[in-house]
Amino acid sequence: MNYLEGKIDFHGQIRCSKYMNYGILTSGVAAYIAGWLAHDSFLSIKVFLILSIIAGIICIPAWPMYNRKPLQFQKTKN
Amino acid sequence: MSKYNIQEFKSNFDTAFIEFFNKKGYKQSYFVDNIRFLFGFGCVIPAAIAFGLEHFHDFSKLKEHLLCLLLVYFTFSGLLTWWISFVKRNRIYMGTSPDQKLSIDAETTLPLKHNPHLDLTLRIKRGKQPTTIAHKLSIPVADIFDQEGQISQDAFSKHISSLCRSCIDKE
Repeated sequence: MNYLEGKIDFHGQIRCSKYMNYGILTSGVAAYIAGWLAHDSFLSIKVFLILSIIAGIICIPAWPMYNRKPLQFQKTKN
Repeated sequence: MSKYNIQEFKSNFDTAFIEFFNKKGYKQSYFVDNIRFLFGFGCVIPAAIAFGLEHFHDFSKLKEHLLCLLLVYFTFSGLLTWWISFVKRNRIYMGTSPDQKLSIDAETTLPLKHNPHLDLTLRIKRGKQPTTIAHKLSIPVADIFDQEGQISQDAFSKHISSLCRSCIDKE
């Protein structure tokens, strides 16, 4: 159930942050271009929302690809 | 699943660091935090007075009073921002040794990296001398925290004690 707890290693956190930033930026640019070409601002909003949701699906859950480089922490003392 | 929460790691380290020196008999100074609270109240009080005045009186009659309160608010707000940004910064502890001969000032930062290192800067001032000597220590997070995100007391004591021996005890 780690998908809901959202624990990812540090390497995964940096990757996820990069994907989110590039994803949102790309969504904005693509939405602007689509809306400009179609002369339709509503299309622009729809494209932005769809691409943002895709970026969210890639970034929000704790996918296994974000847990590929775990650190070796100290042993827990009970 | 291990915890990888940078903020929690820093917070746990800061707490353990403060407890370590307080247990050694150092007297912690709250001067920086007290001034920060003072500036904070300096912002809140004019805002509350402005809200209260406007609630009971007409705005047109209060323009000059609100302007004064606004100027007071922005002054304190600017002072608060300056204090937090340039004076408090990442400072976590200011204290004086039991014999009053040494004062220490500690800052920690823990930037998110692939293998994060906790950077501790310890500034030591001897007596009333104007100069301070800064000592830096960089500890990998994996060396002092366990899988639950809790600090490993043995590893922490080892690092901080070696820092104390090399920096503070020599002073």
